[in-house]
Amino acid sequence: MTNMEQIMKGPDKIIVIGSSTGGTHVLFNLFTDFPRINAAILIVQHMPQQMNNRLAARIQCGTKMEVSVATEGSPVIIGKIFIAPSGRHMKVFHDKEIKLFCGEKVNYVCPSIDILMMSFSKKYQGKIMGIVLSGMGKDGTEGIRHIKEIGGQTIVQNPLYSTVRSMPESAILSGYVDKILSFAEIKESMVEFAGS
Amino acid sequence: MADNKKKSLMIVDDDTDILFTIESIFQRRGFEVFKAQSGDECLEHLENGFLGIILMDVMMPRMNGWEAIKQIVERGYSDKVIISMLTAKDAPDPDLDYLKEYVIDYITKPFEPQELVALVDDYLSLL
Repeated sequence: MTNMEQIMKGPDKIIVIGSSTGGTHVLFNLFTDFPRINAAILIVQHMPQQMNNRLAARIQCGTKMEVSVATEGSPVIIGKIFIAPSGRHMKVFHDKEIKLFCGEKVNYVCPSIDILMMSFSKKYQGKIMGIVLSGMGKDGTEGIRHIKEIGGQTIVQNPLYSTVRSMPESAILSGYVDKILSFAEIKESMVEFAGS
Repeated sequence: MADNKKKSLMIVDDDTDILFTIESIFQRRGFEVFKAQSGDECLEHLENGFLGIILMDVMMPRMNGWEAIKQIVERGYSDKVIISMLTAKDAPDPDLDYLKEYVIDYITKPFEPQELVALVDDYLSLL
């Protein structure tokens, strides 16, 4: 498949990761020696704006996938990791293109994990994985519910191993979580889900 | 940002044992260490131009850690620092959820020095 065909079609598989307080270490661990997998990965990390590019650079150090802070209109294609920029919500438009917009904070934050996770359609039934890591509050809970409802897989970091456990616990309490895993198990699941 | 600024660390804690213990750990590693015993003193360092990593205790007299973070945000200093809470409580108060995007981590006391060094090294890579 040519690049243009892939852009028009969208990625075969998508992994969406939501992370907040205490989650950056988990991201660093997940993306250490992380192979190029056959999926696009989208990350919302609640963080101050000045950290955006540094986080992308740090994650890039551990993987052969191409990591960047998301920009408006970027095609979501296999082999890329997009990090949501602070101060704008991120959606995936028509299941294949990044859409950024300013809006009210959701769950006290912008970007919100829920907004991103809820932007996918049933087209991704069996092809999308939603992951919630350490964090305060309940952002990601509605997103996990949505991903489960459209036929995706849902994973949360085990609250016992989370620096701040309220976000993964909130997702678990929704009843829509398939697996509760350590970061090492999450990494294995991502690779197994997408193939490398 | 210049390397010398990257290696600035502020410890905000009313427990002087904690202040001097952490100061000793990081001075040996080449950090310029600033100490503050309250949120007020933390803000004074920021007004004097501090840029770097802040390890912020929660429970302090006069101005506690969360109140200090609110002030840091309101006064426009949040883009100059990376803040991690340093606390004996095992979980943040849900009422403080709205400040979460300004707090990168939550370190529970007691901590191992090596663990703290590894965490601060991680924060440095984000500054």
